[in-house]
Amino acid sequence: MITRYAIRSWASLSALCLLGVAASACRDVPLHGVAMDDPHPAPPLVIASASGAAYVLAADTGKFVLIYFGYTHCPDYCPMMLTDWKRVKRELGPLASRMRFVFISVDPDRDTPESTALYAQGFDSTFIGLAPPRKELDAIQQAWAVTSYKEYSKSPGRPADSYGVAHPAHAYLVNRAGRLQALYPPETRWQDVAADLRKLFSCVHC
Amino acid sequence: MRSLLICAAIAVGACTPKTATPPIAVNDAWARPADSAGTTAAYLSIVNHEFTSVKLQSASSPQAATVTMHETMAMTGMIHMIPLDTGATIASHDSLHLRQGGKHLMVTGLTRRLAAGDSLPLVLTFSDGRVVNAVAIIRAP
Repeated sequence: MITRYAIRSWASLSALCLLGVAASACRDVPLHGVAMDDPHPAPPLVIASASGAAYVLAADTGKFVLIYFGYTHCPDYCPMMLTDWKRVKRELGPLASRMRFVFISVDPDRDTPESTALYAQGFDSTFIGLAPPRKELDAIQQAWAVTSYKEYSKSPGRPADSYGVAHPAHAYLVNRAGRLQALYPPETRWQDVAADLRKLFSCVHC
Repeated sequence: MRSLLICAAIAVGACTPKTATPPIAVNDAWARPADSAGTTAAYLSIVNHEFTSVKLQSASSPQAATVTMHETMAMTGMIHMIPLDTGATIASHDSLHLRQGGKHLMVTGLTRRLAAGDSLPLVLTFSDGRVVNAVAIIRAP
């Protein structure tokens, strides 16, 4: 009886140690991106998609998810980000099938679920483009601590409906446990994002 | 006298351009694919071979509602597009590079879909009234 209790205690202790090692192993993977000190659960994302079914981040537990907040009228930076993702996906090969690439519009006045889905798919047919309506977007931005706002040019001659949207510079990486693993600032090379993902794929705890 | 003539000939030769270099040359113009009515960005380089500076004042395209100059800037964790409404000056014998993540031409209200391999005509207007035509090749980087 004592022996059985001792074995059970030892097993529990070992499991706890392993969990500790797992958490620390996940945290300690050296990354090119800005790694979270203590990956915490990503805020929820539930956004109606163009197909009618909602995109649910929690349903992608078990996959790495790259998320970027941008807008489809963004002529320069957002296409650069999505082109980099295309390269990351190509570089990762079969591993990429265990990933999601999610582009979320912060321009509800111009972007629709349909136009945003088409925009994302223009870079890769598997990329997900979402455009939450204003109220939902506000809640998402608050939960994710994301800011965005319109920027108008005050110069004469500019069309009144022509505006840019200031949006977060970095992409978010959610790990397979649904935790925020890292941020990727604008200066990150796509090769480094791919290298990080390869490293994280080989970490069984992330 | 003969040597004077030879010297004069050499001097004239030195001043005569060997090839017809345009005073303002536009190189490597390209733009990303986009849907009709969509938005894209055009990138190019302008070389000013003049002895005075020139300023790119505005741009347009017969196939787009507007073409405006912007500069992408990452500041305090946010991406901004700064309008370059006052134009961009190119010093004598210097170049202006419109490139990804920096200065670029934002093209909105396309009148047709731009697919890889297509081209987009651009009209560049300089502050001295000069107009330079360019053709951006459509390609996905």
